[in-house]
Amino acid sequence: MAYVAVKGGTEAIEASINLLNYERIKDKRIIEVETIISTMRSLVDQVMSESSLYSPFLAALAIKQAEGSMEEAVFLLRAHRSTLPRLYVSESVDMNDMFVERRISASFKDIPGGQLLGATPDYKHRLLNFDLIDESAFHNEKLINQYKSALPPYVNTTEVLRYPKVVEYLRKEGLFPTYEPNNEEPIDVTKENIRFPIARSARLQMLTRGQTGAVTSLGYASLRGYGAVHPTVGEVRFGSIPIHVNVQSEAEIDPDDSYYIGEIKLSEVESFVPVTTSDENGNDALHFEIGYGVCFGRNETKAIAMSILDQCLEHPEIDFPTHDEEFVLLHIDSVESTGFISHLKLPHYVTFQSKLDAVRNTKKERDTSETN
Amino acid sequence: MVTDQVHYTQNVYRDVLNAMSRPGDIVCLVEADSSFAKTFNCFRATSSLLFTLLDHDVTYHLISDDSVNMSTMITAYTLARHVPVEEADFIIVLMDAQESEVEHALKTCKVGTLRDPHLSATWIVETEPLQLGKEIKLTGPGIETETLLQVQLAQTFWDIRKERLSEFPLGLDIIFTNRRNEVLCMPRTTIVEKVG
Repeated sequence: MAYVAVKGGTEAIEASINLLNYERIKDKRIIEVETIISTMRSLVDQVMSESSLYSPFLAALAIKQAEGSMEEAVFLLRAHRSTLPRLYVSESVDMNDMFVERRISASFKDIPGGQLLGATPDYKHRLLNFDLIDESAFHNEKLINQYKSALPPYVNTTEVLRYPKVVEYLRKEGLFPTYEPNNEEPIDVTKENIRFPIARSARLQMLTRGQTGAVTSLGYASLRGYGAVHPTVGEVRFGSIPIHVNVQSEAEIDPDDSYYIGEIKLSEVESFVPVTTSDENGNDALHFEIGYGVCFGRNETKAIAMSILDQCLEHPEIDFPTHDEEFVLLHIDSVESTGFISHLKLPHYVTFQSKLDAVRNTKKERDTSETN
Repeated sequence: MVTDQVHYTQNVYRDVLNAMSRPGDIVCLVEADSSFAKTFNCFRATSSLLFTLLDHDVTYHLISDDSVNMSTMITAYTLARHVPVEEADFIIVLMDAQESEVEHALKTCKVGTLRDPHLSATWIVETEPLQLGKEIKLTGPGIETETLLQVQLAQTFWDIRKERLSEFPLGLDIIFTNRRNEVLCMPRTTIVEKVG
């Protein structure tokens, strides 16, 4: 499809932009970027995740500019991301280094280290809290102090507590194999042309930057029967993970020479999926495979849905759309899908004119043949 | 200061984009603050392009008498890697380059593949004086009628360029720079003919 560049309408477009700016400020309310960062954390996380750019400040700024429109905020941040120089590649991270704020398992009640709920609305009644209409800083201050004073006394410890992965449980029982680390250079989906079938590194990247709603919908479709994966959530983790870069040339990398550049918050999910395989004697055996989901910030639904889709795409032989790489990966991207849908609003005068001509001509032909 | 650099290189990028869509137009780049522009021992315009276009994700090949010292500097500041000419995303030709070396690079540089024609080399070529004249004639997309130019390059340069562009969309794109902080672009679609 080719588009002819449209010229004209400059004044109308300028006036429209002026009106848009006016609409944003006309009620004379100003929301600070800092306020968005600390009170709309979930929204900020989603924008960072779908934009593939970890910066709460810029995400909050994008949300402010886009007046809360997700697709617009993600578009802005992706556009900004594409202008940034790429100076270093960070070291790969070990999720065992995560500073865990929340970690639960739906597969085992008693897990080493215990279930750590953290802050979650999962077990809350969904009732509108009308007290928030007149929230006061003074009252909040009181609540903060109350919360802090009720905490158990702080114990200084030098011991670093690590939460072992729940999957280690299954490994010990021989129910889950230990894989060799895959050290293949990952594909960068933002730089390379995508060709199917594609490596898992690319699939995971495209899933993790997918639109939350789209990833969730397709994951749900797979659960409901338009797919063949029904997992049990082995582990959900949320916490911060340190990021390091190494400035040495690749030949002489020494982990002690790495620079710590900050930390990012991640949600991570490992889903256990029972898979039937036949051995050489034709006997069916059941074992487990893992579906993996991870995304920037706190977004557990997306991470779980991603883990389902990851497992689906590992089995392309199954005949469901959710097991089809091209179907899943090319349709979950926010900028691609919202961009293509909304481009339909742009002038298609010539395209439509030719369709109209075709319809008129067939009608004319029919009319003439009827009168004959 | 850091944001100054970002905004500055973004302005340079915009200038180059304009120059690329109007091949043969001599475009003056925005002025950098002095310390920034004098980092490398080359034209200011060339420096600006290096800061704008190079980063860790791309490779370059430098053709200069002083290529060892210069490439160490360029890599230190931009983090781009210096590679053999056949692999380079950018080929940088400084004023002191040997003609034979330039010709060899032109013959062997990347021109992309039919599936990925953008994976070709972009050339940054220092030249003098780069002005309107009657030496070569440019025609093609982005040029209303024709542009006549004075560029001091041997005829063989244009011959080899033509040969490497023969299988469109494969080809290479050139950005010329001069001492006056100006650039002139010659994308692969521009047809160059000798006048007279």
